Amino acid sequence: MTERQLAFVFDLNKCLGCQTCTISCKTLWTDQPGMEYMWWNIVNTMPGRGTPRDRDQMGGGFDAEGRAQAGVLPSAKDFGEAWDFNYDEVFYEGKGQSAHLHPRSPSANGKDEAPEWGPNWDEDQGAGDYPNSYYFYLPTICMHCTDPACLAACPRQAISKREEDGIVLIDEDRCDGYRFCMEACPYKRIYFNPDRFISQKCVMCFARLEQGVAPACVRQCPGRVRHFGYLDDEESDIFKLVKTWKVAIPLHPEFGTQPNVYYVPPLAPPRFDENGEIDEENPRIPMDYLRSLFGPAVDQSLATLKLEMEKTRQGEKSELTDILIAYKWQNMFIPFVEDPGELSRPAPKS
Amino acid sequence: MRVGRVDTRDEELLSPESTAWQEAAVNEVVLSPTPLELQPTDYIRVSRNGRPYGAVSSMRVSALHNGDSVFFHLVWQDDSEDRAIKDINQFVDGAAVMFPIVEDAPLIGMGIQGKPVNVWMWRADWERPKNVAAEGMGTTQRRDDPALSSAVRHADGNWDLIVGRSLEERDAPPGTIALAPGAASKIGFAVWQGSEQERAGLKAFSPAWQDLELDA
Repeated sequence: MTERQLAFVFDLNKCLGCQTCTISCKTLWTDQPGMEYMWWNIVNTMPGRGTPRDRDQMGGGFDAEGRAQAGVLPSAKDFGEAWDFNYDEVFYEGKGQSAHLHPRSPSANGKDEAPEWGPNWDEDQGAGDYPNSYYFYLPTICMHCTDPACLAACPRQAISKREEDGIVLIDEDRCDGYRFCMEACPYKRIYFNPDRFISQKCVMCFARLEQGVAPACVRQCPGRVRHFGYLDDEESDIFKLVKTWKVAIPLHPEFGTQPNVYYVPPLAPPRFDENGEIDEENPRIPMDYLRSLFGPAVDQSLATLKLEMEKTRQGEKSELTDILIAYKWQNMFIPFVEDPGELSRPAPKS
Repeated sequence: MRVGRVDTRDEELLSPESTAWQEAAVNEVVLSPTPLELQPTDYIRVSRNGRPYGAVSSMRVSALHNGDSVFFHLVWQDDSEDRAIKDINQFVDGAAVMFPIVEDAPLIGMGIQGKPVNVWMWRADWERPKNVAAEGMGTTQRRDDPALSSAVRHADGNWDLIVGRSLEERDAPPGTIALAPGAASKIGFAVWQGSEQERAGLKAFSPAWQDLELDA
């Protein structure tokens, strides 16, 4: 345990899968050569195979006794490569009327080969049969775990966890690109930069935090999905959602790393029975599926959410629903409420 | 291991076909996997348990100097030639020679605090070898060293590598072994097979120091 811990709560009932968080991170942190395929933040449609492909089956983390578990090192294709497009053909070779723009796999060595996979490739699939089909969106970033498997796996002590806020960082000067961290991370949120021969991942926008500004993915989220703050700050949304109301729970707690991104699990519309009647008894998203993601705590979390939402419907006051509605946007990430547009900045280097 | 003295220019000694190498004594160096239980993290020990590494079992080594520079000619079998990272889950081939900076620096673990070792490390995707100082596992400091040079070819399922360094000590990175005509030291060897995802301590190595004597 570090002295303090910053944490996130992502409300899956509000995430609309727009990937604004993903793009805000991309433009801020991963637009350099060697980072083309990196998405430190990614939103996946669930049920789905995730990014990288089949990440939940890739191992890593710790078992119940705290012993390290072997993991798989994903390929660039598993993550979804940064595709090329045939811009030259369409825009500059006079084929504007005959050729259409399409992606090409960069590993096809110039051949006009369509990619087989990409980030959130199974975006439009979901699960279930009409009229009971279902899906929800699951954003993931580095979980800045209390017991990071990446940190434990690194033979060079290149990964550290900051005492003052629990941010997990890779020291790019110490990293030798061995990638044991990528194997060991059970959430598969570490990427290898082949141009610089180092591993890289979400840094929780620490440079913004030091100026009092919330992480880009938090601040840019148009759906007011992301709450952010100190886990021990009893006035924060984080404390109330995780500790007081216990509705925000970790993803795959069985991975044993004690992640610090918490999720408000998804409620779904009721099922229709075989007669087309509304079936309130059986949830549309199978509970077994949700338990496979969030563990047994998901039952109590969903029960609390339903109860409090019902109170609100009846005109009663519910602190929980008020927090989740997020009437006042800045309250979601106290004390990191500075507007980056109003900060004084050093003059750009000439 | 004797380092014979020849009157041959550096450029020629950097060619595996040079007659100087054809006439040089060949030493058969036995290699074995680094011990699993000595790997530095629990993750590495668990993940490579039952997944063998360090399969290269021997290496042919010749050594020559010309009064100005010393060269080691290493030949070992590796059917797959891994020169470049084509995907993020791939690793490249490598090899290294290691010297103790103080006489009783341990080979296993690459030295220990206060008893450093010096490594000249070649990796198939590097333009030139790097000069590595270490005082135990996880402490390596790699430095560019213009005095280091190498030449390599991969033929008939073998890597054929020459790695050498000027005997000049001026401007040497900190922690560089001082070798001179007539001097004695010790040497160790290591090989990484990229195709087996070998990196860091996952490698084949010569488990004990060998004596090294430079002809006067």
